[in-house]
Amino acid sequence: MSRVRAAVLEEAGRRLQVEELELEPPGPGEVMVRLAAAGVCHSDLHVIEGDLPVPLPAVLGHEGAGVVEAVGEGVTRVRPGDHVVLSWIPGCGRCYYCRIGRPELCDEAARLQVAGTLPGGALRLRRPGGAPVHHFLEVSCFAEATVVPERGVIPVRPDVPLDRAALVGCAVTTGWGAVVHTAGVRPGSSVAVVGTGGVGLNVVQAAALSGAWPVIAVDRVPAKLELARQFGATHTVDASRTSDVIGAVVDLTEGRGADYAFEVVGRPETIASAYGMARKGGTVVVVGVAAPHLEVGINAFSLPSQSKVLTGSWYGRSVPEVDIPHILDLYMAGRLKLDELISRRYRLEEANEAFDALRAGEVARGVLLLGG
Amino acid sequence: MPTFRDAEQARAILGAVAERARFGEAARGLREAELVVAFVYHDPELTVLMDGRTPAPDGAYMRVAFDTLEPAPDVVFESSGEVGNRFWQGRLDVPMALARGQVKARGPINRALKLLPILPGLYETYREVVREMGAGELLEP
Repeated sequence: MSRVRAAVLEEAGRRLQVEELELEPPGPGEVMVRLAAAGVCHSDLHVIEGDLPVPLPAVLGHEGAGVVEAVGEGVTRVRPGDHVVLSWIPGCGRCYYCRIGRPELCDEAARLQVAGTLPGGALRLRRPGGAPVHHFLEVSCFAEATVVPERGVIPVRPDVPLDRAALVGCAVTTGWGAVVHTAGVRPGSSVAVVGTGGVGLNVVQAAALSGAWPVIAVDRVPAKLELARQFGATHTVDASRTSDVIGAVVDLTEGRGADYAFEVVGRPETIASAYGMARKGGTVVVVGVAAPHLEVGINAFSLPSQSKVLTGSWYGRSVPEVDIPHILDLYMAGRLKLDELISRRYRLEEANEAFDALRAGEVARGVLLLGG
Repeated sequence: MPTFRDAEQARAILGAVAERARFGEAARGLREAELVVAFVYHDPELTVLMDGRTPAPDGAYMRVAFDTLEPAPDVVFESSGEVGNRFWQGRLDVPMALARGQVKARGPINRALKLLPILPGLYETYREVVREMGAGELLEP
């Protein structure tokens, strides 16, 4: 049994509380990871604000990296000392979706997201006295250490700084995969990206790497648009200065609309905007995670008459075991930016300040440094 | 894209356009169709009601009112002021704007869209008024 400090959400609407918890050793097929860094993501914020119902109390955090400390019985993927990035969709490998090559849609992972446990119902986090604390997305990386399923650890090269590697656990892979896997953006295609936070910037840079032109970034925060230019945006639309972002994108794409439009905010109005700014026959990819009760209105006649492809992208339709090491290779080769994504670094005790900054739109990505 | 400075400017311009257009071809089309059409704008907030159903005391084809939905409109077009400015100068592909969601419409819009071919005169009037009011920055080249 280890003692670890962790940021616990007791109930929705409350602030996170850093407490000392007991972490049980890894069971069969499980891995204990000493965490170095965790990214602060909007999906955690959805849970804090009550828009994403999960079992509480829980240790949040799903974008993390660290070093393997111990492995449970039967684990062969990693051994102590290995550097790993955590995957928040550890595909079971057995369900229909895993078998057809869509592990991001894994039935078991989806069930465990709602259950707040590890496979088999295991709970490895407890308060002194024994009261269990739930896991979040089988990761729970707002802690000094965590226990995760073997399938949730992705071994990575040891020369990558772990605070940068952590970001590839969610934001980078989600944005990258939306472009590369979901949309399959081809060189010369026009791309519009609505929302240039941590994930949106990675849509922008993956589109630029794919040879897209123009790459149009749309956001309400001028500083984020400036960052989007650094990440490869060729044009920007400041949504705080125009009430017709659709028209602005249409004007920048020879009056047609974009070949590919990505929504990376998670709001009904921005999803409708992304749909509107795609050209006839174009592709609309919804990456942003909206609260589960929201609905979107789009013009019904346009569905057949404009024949757009409207799809979602969950975790970038990625295969984390393949994509995460690949993305880190690109970073180490100087082809992909990660350093510039980190706006601020925080201690675990400053987790609430990190979320305040995220809520205020002040950061691309905040990272908690966890000491591992 | 250019847009109205505020609701007062939008109201002044569209009021002047309506005043000049009340006896024109577009207004007559509205009267023949017996339509009440509302344009609801956001940013700035303004509602323009063009009534071709209620007889005007001076024999004009339509009555115009602002910030009211009485009498109840048959058709409502809702958009940003920016898109509205584009429409009134004839620079908006209306069916495409509906498909893209730049304009939301309620009611039997086919009856209103039938009037599109007789609107060019109104667009010219709008441009004239905008220029006369020294608001040329609203006009697209």
